Amino acid sequence: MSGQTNKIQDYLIATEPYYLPLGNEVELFMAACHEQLPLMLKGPTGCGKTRFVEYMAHRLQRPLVTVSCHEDLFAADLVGRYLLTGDETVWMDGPLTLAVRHGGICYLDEVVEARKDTTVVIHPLADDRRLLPIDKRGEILKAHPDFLLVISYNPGYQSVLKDLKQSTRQRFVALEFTYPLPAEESSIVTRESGIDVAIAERLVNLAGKIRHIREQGLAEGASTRLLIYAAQLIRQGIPPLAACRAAITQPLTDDSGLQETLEEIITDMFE
Amino acid sequence: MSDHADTSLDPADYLTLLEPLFLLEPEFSDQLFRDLLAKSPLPALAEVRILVENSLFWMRDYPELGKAVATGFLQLVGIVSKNWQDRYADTVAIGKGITPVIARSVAEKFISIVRTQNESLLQLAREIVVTIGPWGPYPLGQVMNALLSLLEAAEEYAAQAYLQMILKALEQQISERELIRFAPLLSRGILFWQPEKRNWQVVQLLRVVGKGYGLAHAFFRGMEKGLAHLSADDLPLFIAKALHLADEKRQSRFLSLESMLGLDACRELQTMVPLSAVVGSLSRYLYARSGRPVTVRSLEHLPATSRFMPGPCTDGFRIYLPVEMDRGKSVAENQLMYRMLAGLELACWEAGSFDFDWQRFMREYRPMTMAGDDGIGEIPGAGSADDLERFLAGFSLPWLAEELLNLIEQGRIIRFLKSCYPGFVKQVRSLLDKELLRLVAVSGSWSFWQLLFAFLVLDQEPKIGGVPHEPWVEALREVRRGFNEEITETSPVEAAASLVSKVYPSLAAILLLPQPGAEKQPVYPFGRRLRFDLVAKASQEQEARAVQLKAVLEDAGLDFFKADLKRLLKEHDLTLTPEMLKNCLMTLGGERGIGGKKLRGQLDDLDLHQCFPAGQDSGAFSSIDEKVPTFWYDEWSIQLQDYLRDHVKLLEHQRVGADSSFYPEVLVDHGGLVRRIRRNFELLRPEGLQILRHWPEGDSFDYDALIEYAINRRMRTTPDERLYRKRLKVDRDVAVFLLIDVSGSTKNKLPDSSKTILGVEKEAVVLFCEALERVGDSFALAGFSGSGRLAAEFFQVKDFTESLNGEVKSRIGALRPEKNTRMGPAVRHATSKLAAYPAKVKLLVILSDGLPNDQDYSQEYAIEDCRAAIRESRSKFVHVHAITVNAVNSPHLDRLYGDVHHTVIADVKDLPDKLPRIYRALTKQ
Repeated sequence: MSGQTNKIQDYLIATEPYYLPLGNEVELFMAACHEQLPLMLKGPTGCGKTRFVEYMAHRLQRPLVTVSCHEDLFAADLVGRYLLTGDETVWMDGPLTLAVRHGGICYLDEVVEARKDTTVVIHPLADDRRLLPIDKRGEILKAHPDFLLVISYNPGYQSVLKDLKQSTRQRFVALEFTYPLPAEESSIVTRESGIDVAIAERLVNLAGKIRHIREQGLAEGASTRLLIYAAQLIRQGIPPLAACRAAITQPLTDDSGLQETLEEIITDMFE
Repeated sequence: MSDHADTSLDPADYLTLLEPLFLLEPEFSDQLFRDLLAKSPLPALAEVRILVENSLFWMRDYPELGKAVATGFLQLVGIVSKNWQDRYADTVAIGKGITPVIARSVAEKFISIVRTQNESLLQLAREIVVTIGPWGPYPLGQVMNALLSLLEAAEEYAAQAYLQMILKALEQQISERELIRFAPLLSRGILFWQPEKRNWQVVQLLRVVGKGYGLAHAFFRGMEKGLAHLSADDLPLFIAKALHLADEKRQSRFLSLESMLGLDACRELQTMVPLSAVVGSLSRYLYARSGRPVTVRSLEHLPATSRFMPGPCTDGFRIYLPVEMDRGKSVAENQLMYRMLAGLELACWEAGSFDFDWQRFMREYRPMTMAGDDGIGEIPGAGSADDLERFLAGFSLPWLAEELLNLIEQGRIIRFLKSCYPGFVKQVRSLLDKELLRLVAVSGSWSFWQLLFAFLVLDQEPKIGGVPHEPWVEALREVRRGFNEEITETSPVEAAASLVSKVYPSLAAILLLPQPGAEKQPVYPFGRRLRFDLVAKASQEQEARAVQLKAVLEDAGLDFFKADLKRLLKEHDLTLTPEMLKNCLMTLGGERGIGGKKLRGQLDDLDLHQCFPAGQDSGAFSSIDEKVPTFWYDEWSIQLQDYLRDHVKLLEHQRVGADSSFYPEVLVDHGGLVRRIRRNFELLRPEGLQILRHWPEGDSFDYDALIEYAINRRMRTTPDERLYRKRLKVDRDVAVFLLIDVSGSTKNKLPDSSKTILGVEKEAVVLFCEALERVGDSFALAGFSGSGRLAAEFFQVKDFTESLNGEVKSRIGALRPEKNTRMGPAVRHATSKLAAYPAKVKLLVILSDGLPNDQDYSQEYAIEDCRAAIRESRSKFVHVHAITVNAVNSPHLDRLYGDVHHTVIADVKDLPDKLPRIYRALTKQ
């Protein structure tokens, strides 16, 4: 057990991550945390959900255990399994159990990608019971008081066959994330990439134009993350046009018509 | 020309001459007499004598021929010379040499030919008569009728070429039956082409027919698909390549652009770009830049005005561009020109060029010179309709002031653009410079306005050495000084107007000396200029409402500029509600430093409803056929914030399938796409029973995994616990209802195509059905329209229990444009059908070409009712997704459907490809 306690400490975030609050999300998170309420972070990709969780984890000085969900994720991958060490059989807590047992934050990223029979594992944790049944050990683990469950969910491009069930959704307090306002987004891009403010503002302006286009294939627009990538490439001496093409146009869409429009806007904005 | 009329003619003389005819055909002769008298000027007696002689020659033995000849001469006297009248008579004689019936046909059909007085045309036509005449009057008649249609369109050159083509076809032993179809095909095809290009295109058609008359049809198809965009130099090259191919089949596929070779050749040669090819991408670019939908139209749609030559411009709502662009050397260059021109017009909106406000001008830029003896007249009072007109009317020569404003404002816009879009400015200056130099080269010298354009817009030093007139140098220097001192990147349009009033006196004195160059209609690159006149005309409604609104605000002690109010009204497409307006005014107030609680309080106390159009309901409307199933639905009222119970009557029609060929034709036309769709959707189909290997639990062991397990144990490494195979029943239980907007707007044709919006939508529906058949999802189809709340219409095409049989396929073809778009009841009705059908996942897909709009059902009211209907659907576990075609996204669509639950397809031509893909993305597992 002490080995696992040491292991949970590995998940502590040593350095404060940079995060610029955009609204009252910090206060809401703190309030939910104090009330032991699970949280759902909703918003498009690359708008700061994961960074926010890291920031709050550091602020609360709690370990953060992140699980990227996918359709091959089984309950055992979250809860844990027996492993063979030499001739011994040793139980190894999964990431969820680790957080539940030792009072960390468990962050399930893109929870809708996981299979529904896996997602249902979190139900008893996400209501007032705060329990995690570990069937293989015959154990019902009561969550540590500091345990917090956080999930992320992007409603933008889900298939209708993969939506989050109401029975899951209604167990969470939801925080909605969106792209920051231009002035704030420029600060973020400047800070994260080290690029000068003028270029950051231009990139943010570009993103604003791209986010106007809502055709098929460009449903989400350019994320703050992509802007930071572009800025980082520019800082490395890549010409802005090439940097934006590589970091923004090509990742966003394969549709030649949309690519053409993005290129036109980029060409307009950078000499 | 014929002998001149004798003005002292006595009608009785005509009677004398007509007497022999009268004895044979009294009634005809009477009518002829009246027709002669109706001519102006009256024909000379000598001409009438010739008419009578020729007519009599035939009348005795062939009365009908005689009458036809008389009628023919009647249309020729006074128009053509005697020489040509004789030719006409000779041609009739040639026809008589075949049969009298042919001669009569000649007498009737050759009138127009003789009137052209074109010797070559006449000879060719005679040859046709001699060759085809023996086949009989019908084939000759078909050929001649086609010829006449060309002559009626004043296409004499094309008519001549047409006859040559007929002769070539005859040389190639064309059969009578083929000729009867061939002749009208030629004339119709030629007349479909643009008049200014017809002559040289016809030459190429002649070449093609010379090779083989059977290739003409392929050529016409190719012209429709893209050969029409080739230039006069490039089309012959394309034809040469085509005719060089080995056999007629290959040549035909090449010419009709059905072969890859043909398509590639056309693409390589093509430099001209039609607006229709780029309007979708331009709209998207403009929307991205501005954040609002921008309509792009061709110059043909520009309201007619004699003030200025048509050129790229905007009226504040739409952007007008040339119908084709061929100035560049390549397709890319011409596409760039379109984008640059569109971007420049959009910049006028972005920079506020049309937001001139008289009050703001007088307060902040009080002009130095006002009424007096320096050439500027009295400033008219506040009665003038438009603030800018009021400003320009204050000058003794308003046209001069407007021209100065046009250029100074364009210079200001470029300064504004440089701060936001430096890349764009660099490109556009290069383009405008090139074009300006071309204009100057053509005219031979610089005009004053062109020099000023070069300085203000292109930021070039005035070419002092190239200035043709010394006094202009000082004028240019003065403008330059003022521009550099007073115009910055943030200056408003009033600053440009202020500069105009400062430089006007001295410029008027210099420019109005009698010398060329300071012309009233300057020639600018691409013919582009700011059209303040068009903007004023197009925004009259906004102007009136802004005046009213300003008065209401002033009464409440609130000071807002009229131009700002007008801009708010324009930006919101007149869908502003009183509440939205108050919020916008708060924002506006904040920008001007007025604001806060005091302003909020003042606005809250205001009743702005008087500034908005009258409310929605205006009574019931006529009902239609009651012999169809009817359903009553509630409607959400935004005013009442409650439902109007049983407010809408929906009639469910069953369209009778009439067009059984539509469905199979679409499958043939989109052959490649159909194959791809079938393959992709087969892959989506669940295989019934899926076997999962390396699974943590299951029905049996996975022996490969067991072996690995044993090995890992021996190696003392952690073995994987996934040792089983599991049989999984993979279920896909999806029901989808596709609801299609068949309102009247869907009958609009696509540019450069004979297809309508609904036509393309129906094609997409066919491909969609093929996709759904492959994946095995249950589906239903219906169209919807409406004509008032008592006549919402629902056209059932297929319900869930029907198979995709021949009858259903015919019904798809039978869908046609109806009336308006009452979407709310259609959504409710489709939802009720979906809710009643047992399926795990239910999806409603709405296909439309715009926002809902019907009688008493538009703007906010319609949007809110549709939102309510969609909410109701979602509450019944029906997922709703909308696809809007032939539009760019707007905030209204986001509000209507939810910003993640709809897709916009700017160009409806992409719909057949994208609809199945959207569905696939929506329902993938």
